[in-house]
Amino acid sequence: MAFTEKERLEKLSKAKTGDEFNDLYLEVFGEEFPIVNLKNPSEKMEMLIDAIEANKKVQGLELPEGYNI
Amino acid sequence: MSRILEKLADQHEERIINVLYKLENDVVNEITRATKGNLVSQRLAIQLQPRLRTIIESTFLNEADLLINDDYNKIAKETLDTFGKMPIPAKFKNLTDVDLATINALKTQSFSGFEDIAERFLKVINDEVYQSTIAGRPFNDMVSNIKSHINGVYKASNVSEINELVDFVNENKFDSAKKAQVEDAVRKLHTQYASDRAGNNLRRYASQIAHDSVMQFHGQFTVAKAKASGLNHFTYTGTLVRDSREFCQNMLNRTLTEEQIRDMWNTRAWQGKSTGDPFIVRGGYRCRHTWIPTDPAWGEETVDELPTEEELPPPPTPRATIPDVPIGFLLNKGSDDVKKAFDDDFNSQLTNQQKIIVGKFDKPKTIRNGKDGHYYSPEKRLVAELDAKHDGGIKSYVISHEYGHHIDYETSGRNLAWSATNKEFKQAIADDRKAFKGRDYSGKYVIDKKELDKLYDKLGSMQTIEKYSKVNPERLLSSYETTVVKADGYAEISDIVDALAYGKFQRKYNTYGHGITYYKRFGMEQKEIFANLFAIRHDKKAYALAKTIIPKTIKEFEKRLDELEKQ
Repeated sequence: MAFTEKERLEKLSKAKTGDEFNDLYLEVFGEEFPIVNLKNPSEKMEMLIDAIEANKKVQGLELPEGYNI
Repeated sequence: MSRILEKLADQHEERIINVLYKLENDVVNEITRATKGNLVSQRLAIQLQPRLRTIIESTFLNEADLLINDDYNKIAKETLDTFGKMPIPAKFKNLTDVDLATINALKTQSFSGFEDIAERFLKVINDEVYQSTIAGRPFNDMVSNIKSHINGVYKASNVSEINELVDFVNENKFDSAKKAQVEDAVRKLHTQYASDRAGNNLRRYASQIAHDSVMQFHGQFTVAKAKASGLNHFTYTGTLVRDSREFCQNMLNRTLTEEQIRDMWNTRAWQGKSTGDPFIVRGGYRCRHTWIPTDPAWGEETVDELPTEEELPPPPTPRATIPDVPIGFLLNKGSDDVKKAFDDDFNSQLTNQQKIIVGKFDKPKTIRNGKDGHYYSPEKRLVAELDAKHDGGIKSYVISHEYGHHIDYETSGRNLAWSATNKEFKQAIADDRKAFKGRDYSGKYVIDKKELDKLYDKLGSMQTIEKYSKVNPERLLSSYETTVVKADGYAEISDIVDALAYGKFQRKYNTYGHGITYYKRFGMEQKEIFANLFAIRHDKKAYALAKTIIPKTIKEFEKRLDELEKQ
C-alpha cells in the first residue's frame, strides 16, 4: 500500500527507536533496509529517513562473493 | 574501585613521594652539618644514627601517621556506604563498637607496614655512612648513594635536565592524559641516566605501600563487615586500565563464593600475584580492584563458574618488541607522510603476535585509504580509512578489522575464509550464543530481548538526534535515537553481538553492526566475529569485555592465532 507524503511524514515524526524506523522502512518499501557501507549508525538512520521522506528506496550494495565490509 | 578509594590511593602515594624529598634533604643536611663535608669517621657514623632515626620519624613516619589517622576513616565510611545500599538488616549497615575496634587494629597494622620499611631503610642509610668510613669513600659519593637509597633515579641532582624530568614525572604522575609523556620521561631517567640508578630504593617501596595500604585497609574492613553480615559471595569490582593484569581482566565482574575464591588462591598462580589473603592482596601489588560482598538471592548477581585453568593467564613469556610491519607502501595513492601515518595507525591496532602473523603471510594486492571500508578476497583488495573515528570521537579499528578479513582468507589455503569453514570456531560461536537466555526456533537459537538489553547497557548509551529535511531545512522530520559507544573497541563488540543476534541488535538499538540482510549471507557471522576480534585483540579493555560475552569463541580465536604464529 502506498502512503501519501503526509502519512509518511506523520509516521516519521512518531518513530524514535531503531526498530520503529526499520519497521517503517519495511512498511513503506516492502523490504528491509538494504546493506550500505556506512561507518556510523547515525549515518544509516539519516539515509533511511531521507529515503522515507523522498519516497525513494535506498540503493543498497550488491555484494559479490568474497566482499566483506 | 570507587572514585574515592582511587583518589585516596593516588593522593597518599603522592604525599609520600613528596615527603621523601624532605627526608632526602634533611638527611643530607644533617650529614653535611655533622661532617662539614669531610670524610666521616667511625665515631661520627655511630653518633649520626640516632639523629637519622629522628629525621625519618619526623618526616616519613609522621606523614604516614597523618595519612592513616586523617584518611582511613574515609575509607571505612566508603565501606559503610556500600553496605548501606545493600538489602540487609539495618544493624549491619551501621558502625558498631566491633567495627571501631577493627578499624583501630587495622590502622595500627597499616602503620606498622610503614614502620617496617622505615626501619629497613634506616639500616641501609646507616650502613652506607658506616661503610664509607671503612672504605674511605669520598663525601660526595656517599651523599649521592644515600640520595639514591631514598629516591632512586628521582633523587635531587646537579644536572638540570634530570631535575626537570623528575619534576615533570612528579607533577604529572597522576594525570592520565600525560601518561605517555610521563612514561617517556621515566624511560629517559632509567636509560640516559642509568648510572644514577639504584634498583631498590625507599621511594619505590614507600609509594607502593602507600597505595596498597589504602586498598588493603578497605579490603580487610569490607571482608570483616561481610562476615558479620553473613555474606559469603563476592564480586570482583573495579575498572580496567591499559596495564591491568590478565587475572584482573578475567575476574572482573565475576561473582564467586568465599570458598571458590580461597580455593583458587591456593591452587593457582599468575603474573604479579602476591602472597597474602585473597581478599586483602587481590590481584597483587598496586591492584586497583576490590571484592565487594553480594548475595545471589538479591537477584542482581548469579554465581559464576570458577575460571578454568586455561582462562587464567599462562606464565609470562617475555616477548621482545616486534618491529612494525609496513603496509602503507601498498596504498594506491598518497604522500609519504600519509603512507607513514597509515603504517602507524595500522600497527597501533596490533599486538606483537599479530605483527608476526601479518609479517608471515602475503599482503593484500592493493590498499586504498577510503571511507567505504571493505576487503574483497578475489582481488585481495583492502579499503580502510586512516585515523577513522566513530560517533563521539571513538576510535575505529577499521584497518585491523579489514586486515583481519585478509588474514582469515589468506591463511585458509582456499577461496573461503577459515572462520566460515572451521567446525570448532563455528561451534564455539553457537555455544556462546546459547550461553545467553533465549529460545530455539526450529534450530535457530534466538537470544532474549532482556539479555540483549543488558549487553547494550554495557556497550553504549542512547543519544537523540533531531533530523531536519534536506529539501526544506526548516522542517523537523524526526527525532531518532542512535548509539554512542562507551569506549574504543566497543563498536566492534557491538558488531559481534549483532552477529550473535543475526543483525537484530543493530536494527533494534540503531547501534554498530552489519544488520539483518548482511548476516543472512553464508559465513558472515563467523567472518565478522573473526575480523572484529582481530581488530580489538590489542585493546585490553575491549578484549576483556568481549571475553565475557564470547569466551569459547575467543579461546578458538586465540588457538588460531597461536597456530598462525607458529606456521
